Amino acid sequence: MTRISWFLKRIPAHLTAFVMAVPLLFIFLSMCKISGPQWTRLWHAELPGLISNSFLLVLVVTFVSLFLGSILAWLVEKTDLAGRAWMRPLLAAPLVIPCYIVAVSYVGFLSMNHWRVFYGFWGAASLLVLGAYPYVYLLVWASLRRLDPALSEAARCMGAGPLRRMLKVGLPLLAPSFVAGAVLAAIYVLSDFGVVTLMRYRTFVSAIYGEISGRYHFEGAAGLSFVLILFTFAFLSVQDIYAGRRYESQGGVRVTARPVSLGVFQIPAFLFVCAVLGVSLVIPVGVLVKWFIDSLTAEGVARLWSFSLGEVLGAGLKSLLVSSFAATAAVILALPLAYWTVREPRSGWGRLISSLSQSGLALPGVLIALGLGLFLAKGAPQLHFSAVSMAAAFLIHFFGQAYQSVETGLKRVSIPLEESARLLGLTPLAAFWRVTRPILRPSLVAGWLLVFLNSMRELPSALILRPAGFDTLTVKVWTAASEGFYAQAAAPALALVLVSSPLLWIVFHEGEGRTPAN
Amino acid sequence: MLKPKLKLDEVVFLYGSNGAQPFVLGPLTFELGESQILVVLGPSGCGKTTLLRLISGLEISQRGSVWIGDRLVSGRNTHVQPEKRGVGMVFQELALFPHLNVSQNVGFGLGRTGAGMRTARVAECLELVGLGGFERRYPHELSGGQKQRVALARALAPQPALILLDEPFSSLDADLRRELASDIHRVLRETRSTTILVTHDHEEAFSMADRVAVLKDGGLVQWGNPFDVYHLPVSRFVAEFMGPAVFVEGRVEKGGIHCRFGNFRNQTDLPEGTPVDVLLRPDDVELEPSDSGEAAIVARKFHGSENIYTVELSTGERILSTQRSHWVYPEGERVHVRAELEHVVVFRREELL
Amino acid sequence: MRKALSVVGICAVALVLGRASLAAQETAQELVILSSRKEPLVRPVIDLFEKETGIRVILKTGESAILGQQILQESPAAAADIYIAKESGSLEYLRSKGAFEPIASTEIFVIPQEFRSREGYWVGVSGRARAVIYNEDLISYEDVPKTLWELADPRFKGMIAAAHSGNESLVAWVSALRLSWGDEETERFLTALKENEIALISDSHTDVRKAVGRGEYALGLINHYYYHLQKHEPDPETTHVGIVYLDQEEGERGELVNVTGAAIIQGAPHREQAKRFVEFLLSPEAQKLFAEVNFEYPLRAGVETHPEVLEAMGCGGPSALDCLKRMKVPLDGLGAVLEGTQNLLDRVGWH
Repeated sequence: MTRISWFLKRIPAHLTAFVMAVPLLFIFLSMCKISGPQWTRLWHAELPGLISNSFLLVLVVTFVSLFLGSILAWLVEKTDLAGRAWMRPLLAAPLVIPCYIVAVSYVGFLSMNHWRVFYGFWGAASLLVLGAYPYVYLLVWASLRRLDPALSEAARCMGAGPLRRMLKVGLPLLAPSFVAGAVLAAIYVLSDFGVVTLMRYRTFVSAIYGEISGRYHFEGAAGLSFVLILFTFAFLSVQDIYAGRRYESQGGVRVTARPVSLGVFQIPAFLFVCAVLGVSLVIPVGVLVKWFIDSLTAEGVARLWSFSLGEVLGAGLKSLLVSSFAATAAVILALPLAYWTVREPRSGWGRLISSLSQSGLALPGVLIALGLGLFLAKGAPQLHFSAVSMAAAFLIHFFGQAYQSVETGLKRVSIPLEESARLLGLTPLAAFWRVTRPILRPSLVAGWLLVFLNSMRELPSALILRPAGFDTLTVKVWTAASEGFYAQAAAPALALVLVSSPLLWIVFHEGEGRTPAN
Repeated sequence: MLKPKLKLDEVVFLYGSNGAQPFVLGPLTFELGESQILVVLGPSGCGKTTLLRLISGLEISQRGSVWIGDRLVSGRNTHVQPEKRGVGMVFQELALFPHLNVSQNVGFGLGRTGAGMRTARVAECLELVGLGGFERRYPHELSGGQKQRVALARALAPQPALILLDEPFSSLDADLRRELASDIHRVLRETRSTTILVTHDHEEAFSMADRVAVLKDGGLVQWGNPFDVYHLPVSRFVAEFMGPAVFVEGRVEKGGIHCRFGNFRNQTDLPEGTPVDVLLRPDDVELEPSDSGEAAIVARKFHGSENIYTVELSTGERILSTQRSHWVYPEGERVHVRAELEHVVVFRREELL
Repeated sequence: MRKALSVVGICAVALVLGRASLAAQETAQELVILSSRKEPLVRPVIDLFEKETGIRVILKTGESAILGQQILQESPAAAADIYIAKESGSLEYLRSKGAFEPIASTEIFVIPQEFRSREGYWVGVSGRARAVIYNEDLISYEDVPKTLWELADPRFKGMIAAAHSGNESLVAWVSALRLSWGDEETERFLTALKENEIALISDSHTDVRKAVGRGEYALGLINHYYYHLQKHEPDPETTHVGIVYLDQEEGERGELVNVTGAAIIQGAPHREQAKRFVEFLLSPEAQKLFAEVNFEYPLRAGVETHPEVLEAMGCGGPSALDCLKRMKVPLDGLGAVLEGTQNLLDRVGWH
């Protein structure tokens, strides 16, 4: 390893970690201001119950999401299920709709039909599953796609039946993506606030927000967030340990596998997928569309809360720009860090830096925004309350997702591949650009997409850090929805969905680049 | 012949993507005896890999039947799944399980045996391929040649009825290739495996095959032992595929086949006057250095024990000649060319078009 | 290659936008307003102001606590000029931290003293009263409690919804109760409500009004305008609601009237324009507009309240304040007791 590549990996990585750690610093400093009696107040009787509430939710939702996401990925990628071509991108579509909006649309949907709304644990859990399973689905799907069918065929020639092949070959090879997907899902559930509030199920995060609203000192919230961070770090290190194995790429898949025939299960499987799509996509979007149509004929008070087309378009443009900026920065920064940790897996310091960089995933968006804001106010007031600070908050919050994706992809690029490119005379950067990048592309795209979609949906950072006069789509949605004007909120919500949807197509057609040789 | 181990009868397989020309493999009919090694030769895209996949059961043929031993494994109403055929296969891309170590890879097909027996058998197979002691290594720690050997050991371990090897040497360099080829040949002989090896390299056919099948565009062009296929090719394509070949113009005459190098026995039933091309292998061409020679040496390639000379005739045609490498004829040396054909192989000239 | 170009392009545009939004804060003939009142409710007066004065207004809305943080963080170099607060509580708190300048205008005296800071640091613009919304299908007017303590009656067990301690209005109301009743009685009252299984369903009154509208609860503790908003819901099934103002009889304490108010931020870059804006807010035209968009009460004497509000109160008008019995609590005293109220709510478990 040359000097240059040594620096090329470490310097950006350290810089990234430093930026990502700013909110952590803020939390830590805030915590130091907490007095003894304050700590007692924080840890009074309610908290253990809230912690167990959170964990029950995480456990149930992660488990169900893992199951659901994996089965769906398998059905649309490895079987002959009818309609799987259009099902593929649609099943990931819930990533496009803010989960809070899904929750609101469900409450609306149930009440407009005069059915009971299922508040509490089961309501929260069901809605969170709808929001979490796409993480598992996306990662497992990408792995399945790259799974070498020759492995399964080799197993067949050695006498292994379908069950044995799944247990001995399929599942072990998919295990890293299961773990990664489960971790993303768990973190998502752990830090959700919108759904659990609407569903009136108090979790640990509810307590954190309770410390923020109505108060002007955020030390209490910072203290409680520290616990959240610890748990997220725990999840991330589980993943680290598990995903330590490297499965080198064998240089491209030569033959595409013949799809598994579902036979008599075709119809039940088809209905199952349609049911999932119905519940996760059709109903929420349908409700939004109905509300949007209603809003066109709204009168009186509601008129006041409607947004003009110009407002929606303007907000859309702002959302798009800031989110793209954040996503691009995330992927670019993820690369040197991933190179470091994947190529030098034994570097403990490297792992620490990577965990630090991903800490944003653990924090509620509001604390990231507050922490970053405080830092900027003291250190770089020119940048405070600007589009750049907004993008930075998104970047810090979601960097971990880009990193996970890039890291997983990089593990599949074998060292000999890059080394042979170097021997052919390419500089490290050229070797990366011409050899590694094409193989890495699906992971880069997936990482970019995850950060982009999450940034589009993110509310607290947008609310807090935006400059005056710079409302994004989520801000518009919040403006109307928080006062109960759901019909009026439908327009920006639908705009959000529309803007984000085409990108899903890209991910899924990106993966279909290779044509099978005959 | 004794009861064949493998029998194909009119096997046809059609494939092609939507709209493109469908590619037809077959109809193929042949038999392979117990412990025989068949090498299937042909250029890329001729259907060799598909043939293996048909025999292993990974593809389903549209017509025809396949027997392994006494058992009908593919037929009109029958298709035995690969996992039940007892056919071992070594894939071109090897397909070693990256998450299992060498011992677990090799022992994968021994699922039903007890642990003790399995360990013993794995050790035995690894010894056989020269990788004793490699049990705990992982595929990503092995070199190309080592991976090949593990793949072979893995396929052999369950003692299959048939072993199929798909271009096993394609990713290796020349020396490794030769070494591995002779090792694999030894192993196959020792285990008395009935084998089908698919390749595009005729050298491998010569060194290992009991039988050779030449495939072109999905059709079986020639079947026979290596000697016959080399010296008695049935078509120009086979002739050129099996080794260096040069054709000279000739004509069927009353006394035989007449060409610039003289008259040769006519072993065909072509009528008098038919224009033909005569096959000249480098080993059929003799050179005599002579100042009055009508040909000159224009190039020489050293091949270890022999030199292959490119000789230009007065007509401008070029032919090849193999000579022992003790003597070196320098470039430019004038020589007299003589053809000594043991087997006279001719093709009608219309075939050229 | 294309991707690289688009990346560069996006970065460039974003930076330009960022710069532009910063630069926007520099020009002279303009005003920057922070508002915890939602944009659709302040737009009408802002548009009117822009039209009449030609001064450009840049608006940022958000949550009180967050905007308050922003103001305190930037101090003393303020980037914004005006703060419009949904509740007087946050105005008082920020005042106590020295975040505001006194409003140097005599116009503020048109607002009654109880609705503004006595030292002139902030002024109320519109008012809202605490009230009870009820579902007409589940309970009749006669059965609805008419005083606060009646809410603790066991016959209403589990039938009442309210906002939890994350809601500013609620916190301000409890502060007012403490000032009016004393700490002990307030604590007893809240505990009694908790024992009566009051459902603290959300930090937002919107959820309370919707829940009552859907029939999930018979009664809800709200700010009065939520009743009117519920009446305007598109689904007619959810509009069978009524409103009751508590403690209105002779000798009773009356309901708390809190205000939406405005203040000038200390160090405001456009002080002159800020003063003009505040004076504009207090003009009769703006008073009417500001209040009626949200069914609130104008505070300037003689300005008409929205007819629907008057009708629901059974008031002849012109101003709702003429008919409403109000809790005698000075609003500018609420801020000081904020911390104590939060501790009380924590003790009682008002989450």
